[in-house]
Order: sequence, then structure tokens, then C-alpha cells
Amino acid sequence: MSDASGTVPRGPRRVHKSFIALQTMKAWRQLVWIVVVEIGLVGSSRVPVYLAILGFVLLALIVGPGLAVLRWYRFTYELTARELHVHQEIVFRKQTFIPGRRVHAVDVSAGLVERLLGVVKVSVQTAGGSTEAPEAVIEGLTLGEAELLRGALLGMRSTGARPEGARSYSDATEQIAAPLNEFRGLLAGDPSEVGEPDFEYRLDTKGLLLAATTSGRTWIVLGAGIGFGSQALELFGGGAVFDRIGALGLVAGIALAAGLVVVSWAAAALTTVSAYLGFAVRRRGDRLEIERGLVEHQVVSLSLDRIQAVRIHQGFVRRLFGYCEVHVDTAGFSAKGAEAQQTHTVLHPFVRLDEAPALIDAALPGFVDRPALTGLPRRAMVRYVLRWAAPVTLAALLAGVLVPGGWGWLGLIGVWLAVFAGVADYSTAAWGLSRGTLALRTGLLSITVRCLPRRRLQTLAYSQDPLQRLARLASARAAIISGGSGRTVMLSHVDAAHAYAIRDWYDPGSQRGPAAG
Amino acid sequence: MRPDPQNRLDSRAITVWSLTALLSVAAPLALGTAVCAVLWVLGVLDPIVPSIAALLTAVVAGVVVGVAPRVRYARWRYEVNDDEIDLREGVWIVRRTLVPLVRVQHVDTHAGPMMRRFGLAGVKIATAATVHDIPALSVEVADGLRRPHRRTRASGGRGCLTPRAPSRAGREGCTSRS
Repeated sequence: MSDASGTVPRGPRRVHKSFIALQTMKAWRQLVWIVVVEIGLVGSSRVPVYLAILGFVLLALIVGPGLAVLRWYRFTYELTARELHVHQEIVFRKQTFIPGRRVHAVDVSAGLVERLLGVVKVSVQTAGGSTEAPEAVIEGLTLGEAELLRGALLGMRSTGARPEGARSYSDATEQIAAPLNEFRGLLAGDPSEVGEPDFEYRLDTKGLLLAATTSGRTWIVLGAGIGFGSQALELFGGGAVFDRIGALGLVAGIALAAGLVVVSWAAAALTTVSAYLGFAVRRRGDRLEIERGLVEHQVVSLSLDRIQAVRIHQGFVRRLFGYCEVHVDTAGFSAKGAEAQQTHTVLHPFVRLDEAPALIDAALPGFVDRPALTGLPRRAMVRYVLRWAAPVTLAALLAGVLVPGGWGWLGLIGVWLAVFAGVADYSTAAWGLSRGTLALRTGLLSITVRCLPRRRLQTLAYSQDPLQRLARLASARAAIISGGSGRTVMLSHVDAAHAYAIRDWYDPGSQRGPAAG
Repeated sequence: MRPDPQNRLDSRAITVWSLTALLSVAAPLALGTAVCAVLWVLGVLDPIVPSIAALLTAVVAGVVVGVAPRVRYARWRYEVNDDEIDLREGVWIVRRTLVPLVRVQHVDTHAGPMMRRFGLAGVKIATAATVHDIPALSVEVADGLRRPHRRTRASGGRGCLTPRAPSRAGREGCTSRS
């Protein structure tokens, strides 16, 4: 399938025949569920079960592959000088025409079976595309064809062969990940040369392991596990199991809970390793490529134009170690990763906080700068504490009055926690301005710093309620594009004079330099 | 800090908002009160219930019909100039928004039956991330904001929001109306 010429052949082309097998398997996966349900229904009728099963098997053998062959036969793509044409569907023919200069991103991804075969799925996105789905999806391309198509669509010019020994794999996971990343499967064809990137970063073993062990997903996994487990138990009459858990006693119960947490932590770590093994960020000109994944391998491409903001996030555990992750907010559709990251893309899953700025500068040159952060005035602390403590106090008082025996007054302990939360919230909140960037820091246990370039801000607002007016405070709000819609980033209770300064900084009418901090 | 924007909404907005509030809030409340009164006459309810209902209706109706539209009108200010749209709105929480004209993607006017009856229209200004609504302007001013012509100096902020769009012959809107 590989064309040594290094260009996409002219004329309509079909995808690789392995498409048929993959589609059939997909169809069967759906059929299995139907069959399970149907057997239940048939079981209650007079038709012998074996006959019914035979019928379904025949149906699956004929219908699944038959449809797949038809779909393969009727799916063609063609790259002309200016456009990508995709013709698809069996009965209701669908034709998609995408002008080359409208193409914003071409993402390549492959599941496990596809990786073994060396075929991939190519998603083509345009600027005006819907946020739900890419403009065109071509499944079953061999990797070689996909690379040629991608190169042609993105206008990437081959700059000759990769220099010998350009990559040296010194690191342990790189020795595993690199061959896996470069694993091309059975049918992939020759690699297509795209030249050296302007910037490349790879996640090393230490980073990967630390990222895995400190991922904040333990609790998500635990919640999902408990939810799924209890559903399953209920379905299969596991009431006895619940009774037995109830009879365990305190110590055994705590041990069980701790065991569950450890297992979830390990599972979260494993999924993180699987998602980020072979993680690499590359920049070629004005385009970023983010590559990652052990089983489901994907290469996401992002034009720098689409990036709207940078987010540096420190989860609580990572904050203790001085590490953070870096995300970007992008406009329009972006590939849904394993964890359904729809609107922001991970630029780096685990980097030392003090190395993050250098990474951002290298990956997104000139995108944001680093304004010095200013905290909020002392008088704002009252508002932050009240915001947390007022509802808790009210609830505690109600509980104290209503709960018999006076146990409700224990709720007042919560008030103290709320006060601490308010103080933490207050002391994290900060803002900073430089000539081109507004930075906002928020958070309680975890900390998020958003860097918003002035030229990407859509609107800027500040609001004041009467109490804020009295205390000369205001809340600043900046709106950016994120995914298909907008996102408003807010910092509450800034010194009113500073809120005005931020607004003046954004004002296109006043061409002043950085406003006084 | 820049001075507050200068232009007010059309003053007929007070009437429209009052009427709308009358129909949507006050009328159902009055109906409820009437039902209570009938039940009291029939001897089903204590007289205290209709009296409380009547009092409540009077207070709520007074606020939503009489006071709120006036305060809202008094607080609303907008201004459109060569570079930006400046909005100030809100009764309790006052919000001031700055929308650079280059960020504006499209401008719609909208008017329900009541608004049309009084010759009013609202203008919706959409950016890629947000939508802003100037709720009640006279139809002429609203059209002026919408039409793709560069505003004239004399229009006092009632300019067009899409200055760079191509102009079409025969649509000489957006001139001064003062």
C-alpha cells in the first residue's frame, strides 16, 4: 500500500480491507447484547433455544460482514489539489467536501487491534466544525497512507530523512515506549518523513511514575468501582454479601475500606501509565502534536491559533511535591481522550512547577508571559470566610436545634473547617497583569493558575454587589472560548481599583502599557 | 477608571416591563386571591387567608410592576464607540462589561409582541464565548446598531456594531437620529 513517491495518489481511494474485519467485529460486539436480550425473550416462547441461537449466529455471520463489505465498498476518499472528498454510507449517501485551507487539525488514533494491524483512524476537523464530532472520520487507513494524507492536509513538507541517531533512548520507559510508539503493525507501510520538530518533549520514567502515583483519580476510580460493584451485586442477588459486610465489625470494615482505596489507587495509577506511556509533545512551526497512549494510541494535532488559554493545575498531592500539570484550553472540537478531556488538552501531565514556564514558552512561544501575582486586600478575607462559613453555620444551628439529644451541635466543628477553607481560598486567590497576559490564581487544596492572553480574551467584566461597593471590592470576570462555547473565568473580591485597572488594561480604546498593579 | 456609559434604554421599556410583569406575575396572584376570597365567602376558608393573600399580592405586584422596571431602567447604561461596547446593568449586582468590537461575531435584534406594540426591540450581541443583550431600544436605534455601516460621529454612541462588514446599496441606515 505504500507509495514510495511520498504523495497521496490521485483519484478516489478505498481504505484498507481490514476495515471490513474491524467493522464486523464492531457489529458483533453490538450484536452480542441484542442476542443476550433476545435469548431471554425467546426462552419464554415455544421456539427451541438452540434454533434461536443458530438463527442469530447465521444472522450475525451474514449481516455483520455483509454490511461491513458494503460499507467498505461504498466508502471512498479523494484528495484533490484543493479539497478532501469523503463519500460514505450505503443507502443514504453522504458526501463531505473539506477545503484544505479550512483544515485545522488532523488527529490520528488507533485501538489495540488496529495497532497490531497497523491501521488507524484519521479525524479531520475544521474551524467551524461542530463540537460533537470531527468533520470527517476515515477509519481503516494504513498508517503510511494516514501519514501521507495528514502531511498533505496540514501542508507539512517533508524535509528529507530524519538525521541518523537523532533519538537516543536513555531512559527505561523510553526503551519500552519508543518501540511501542514506533510500532507500525503488520500493514502500516513505510513511515513518512516529516522532518525534525522545532521543539520536542518526552515524559521520562520518573515523571510517568510520579504522575501515576499522584494522579487525583483514586477517588473517581473508587466511586466508579463502588457504584458498579453495588449495581452488579444487586443484579445477581448479592444481598447476602451486604449482610456479611455489615457483620464484619469495625476493624475489619476499616481494613476493607483501606484495601478498596489501595486497589483504586493502583488502578488509577495503571490507567494513568496506560494513558501517558510514550507521552510526547512536539511543535512544528505553528502546530503542536501531542502523542500518547499505550493501548489506545493517539496523535492529536493542534494549530496554535486554536489555543485560548493555559492552565497550570496543582492537585493537592502534587502541590506538596511542587509538581503541576499544564493544560491548554482550545477552541472547537478536540479529541476525546480516555478520560473524556473534551475542551482542554494536556500539554504536560507532570512537570515541576518551576519548570512549567520554560515548557510553556518552548511549546507555545510568545503566547503568554508571567505577570507577578498580587494577592487580594485584607478586607476581602471576610467575604471569603463568610462565603464558606455562612451556609455551614446556618446548617449547624438548624441541626443543633432540630436533632434531639443535642448531637446536632457537633455540626459546629464544621464551621471551623469552613473558616479554614475560607482563609485558604482567600490566600490562594491572586491576579497579575503584564502587557499581554492576565493571570488568575484560584483554589483551595489544589491550585489553578490561568494565563489568559489579552488577544484571546473575548470580553472582560467586573461586577459589584452592594456589600462589595461598601468594601471597595469587585469580582473580575474574563470570558474565553473553550471547546464549542465559552468559559468565564472569575476572581471574586479583588480590590475595586485593581478591577478597574484590569478593565482598563483590556480596553482597546486606551492604549496604555501594563496597568499599575 | 473610565466614566460610566452614557446611553439609556428607551424609556418605553418601563411600560413594557411593567405590563409584562402585570400579566405574568400580578395577574396569577390576583386570581389566586380571588379564589381565596370566594372560598371565604362560601365559608370554607378562614378570613385570614384571603387577607394575607391580598396583602402579599399587593406587595409583590407593587415591587415587580411598580418598582423593579424603574430601577432596572435607571441602572441600565450602554455605549458603543469605534472600538468597543460598554455595558452596565444589574439592580443588586451591578455588572460592567467591555466587549471589543473586533470580538463581535453577530448582532441580532429581537422583539416579542408586547415589545413590537410599543415600537421596541432588543439587541443581542454575540462573541465567540458570550452573548450580551441590550433589552429594550427603539426599533430605529436597534436597527442602527445592527446594520453594517460605520457609525457617524453625531450618532452619539448609537452606532453600528459591525463596522467592517461590507455595506450594501440602498440601506443607508445608521445615521444620526438625534
